[in-house]
Amino acid sequence: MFTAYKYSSKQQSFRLLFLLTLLCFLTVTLSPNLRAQENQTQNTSDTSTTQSDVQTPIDSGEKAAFQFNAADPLSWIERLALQASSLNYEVSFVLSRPSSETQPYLWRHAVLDDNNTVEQLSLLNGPGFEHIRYNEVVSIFEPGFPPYSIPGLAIDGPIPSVLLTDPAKLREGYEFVLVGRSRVSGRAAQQLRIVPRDKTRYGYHLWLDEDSGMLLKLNMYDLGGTLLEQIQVTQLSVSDRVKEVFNSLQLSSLPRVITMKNPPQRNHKWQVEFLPLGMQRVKQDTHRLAITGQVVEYSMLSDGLVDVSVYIQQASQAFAEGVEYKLETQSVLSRTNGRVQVTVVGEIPLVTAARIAESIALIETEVEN
Amino acid sequence: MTQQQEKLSAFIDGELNQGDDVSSLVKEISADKDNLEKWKRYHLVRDQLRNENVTDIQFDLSANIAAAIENELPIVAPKRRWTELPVVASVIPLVKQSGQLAVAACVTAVMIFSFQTYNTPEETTPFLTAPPVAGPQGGLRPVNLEQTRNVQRDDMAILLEQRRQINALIEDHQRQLKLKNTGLVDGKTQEKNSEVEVKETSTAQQP
Repeated sequence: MFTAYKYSSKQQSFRLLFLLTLLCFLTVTLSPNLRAQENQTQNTSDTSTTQSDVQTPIDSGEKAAFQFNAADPLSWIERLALQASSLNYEVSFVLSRPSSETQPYLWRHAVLDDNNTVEQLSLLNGPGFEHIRYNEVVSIFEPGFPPYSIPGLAIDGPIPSVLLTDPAKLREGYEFVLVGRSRVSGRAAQQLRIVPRDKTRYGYHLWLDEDSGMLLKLNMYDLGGTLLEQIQVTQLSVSDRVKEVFNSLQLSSLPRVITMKNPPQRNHKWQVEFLPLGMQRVKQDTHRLAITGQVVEYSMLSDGLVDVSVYIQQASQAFAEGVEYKLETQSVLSRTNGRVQVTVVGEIPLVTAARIAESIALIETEVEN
Repeated sequence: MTQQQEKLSAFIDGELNQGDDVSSLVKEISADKDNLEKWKRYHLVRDQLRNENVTDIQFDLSANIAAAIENELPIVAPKRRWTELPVVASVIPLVKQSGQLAVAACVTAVMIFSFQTYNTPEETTPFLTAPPVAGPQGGLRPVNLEQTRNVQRDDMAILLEQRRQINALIEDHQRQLKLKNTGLVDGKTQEKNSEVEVKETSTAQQP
């Protein structure tokens, strides 16, 4: 073709370049459409079977009393908690952080015929770990350790469990905002924001499925708006077939529950003066660290969504200067004041950790006569 | 002078013009020593040319030559050096070229390395590499901290101890999170962490 027109070599190369860019442009614009079509075909087959399931109410007093208000963001999240604990579903999602590898998870939940709840969370990459919850006992299977069970109401996974159990707890510390409709994972979704009221903690954006109310996407942002963590659901299927998966689960094969002794509950002589809004001290004790055997006075602060650990120990030479680490979402901050060393660990910004560490004060004790 | 020579050669050849005065010519010639030498040489030449009997001629040039040699400057031939051996002579330009190349390479390498160390940001605190994942996976495994190249601390022992303690704190935090849902607290489960160095008096496990 080119030789027939007898263009000069320069013109020929320009034409080639133009055709190449056109080709690239076309593939770029068309490929998302292709992928969307694939997703849609998958999801439509799932949703077609789920419509009936969502509309038939499961016999649960909570669900019958729940009035869903589409204009109230907290209502959306409460609907998420309700659906997550009452539906039979199988969810594939990925957890991604900017500086580490994406981790795919498989999450299954079923309410068996005898009204027992079974939940399973497994990591699909690597040697494999698995958590299985049967009613209120969580069994943990981790490679390298013998399996064990502990009592628990929810599996401690990437999705904050408070959103799936009792989101009303967050009302004091966080504000809920309804943003608008969008499309996530091939479904119509409603976008919400969970924002800390006093700007001392990380904020969240979440997308909930309009049909089933399930979580489709969750983004965690730091104070500056940088994305810290993202959970993206790639496949959601709500159907009764999930129950069959758990048929092969034998209760007797689950590991026995560990009975644990509480360490001595000693009231500390100190307390944290500065607490972010909605955060309370939920635990205080004195115990030894596992790796180094040091004795620490420990206190856990929690606002429902995020938990912060405060350690007080004797000052050692290693921490003569203050130390601050930022590890993706975790912050570790350590300050030494005289003979005492304070360390704050948690998924909070470093500035908040610093304020907490510096606000520790002695409780004034009354002298007994 | 040349007219004198003409007259002299004509006289020897016997071809003087009639008008010339022979006696005065002879007087002129004999007055000049050079002319006497010329007379001698011309006659010698004539005799040789005519192949006549030649009187004994003595060519004593040795005196002249000796005098001339003494007056000459000494001519010295340049001494051959080892660098002028043919093998070495061909190698030296090559070595010179590669030497220039080597110098250029060294300068470039120094520049690159100095810019590298200049451009890497200086880390004043060590950072963690293997993240203790908050979640069911790996929360109780030991966490490793790694150090960057430009840490400005002199005492490595203190640094290692610091890292170890930070690791211990993070691991304990993960453990507390895991147990939070249970509503119970445990600091002594030895099954969970095979590297536990806890010296507890009371055991927690009752299988």
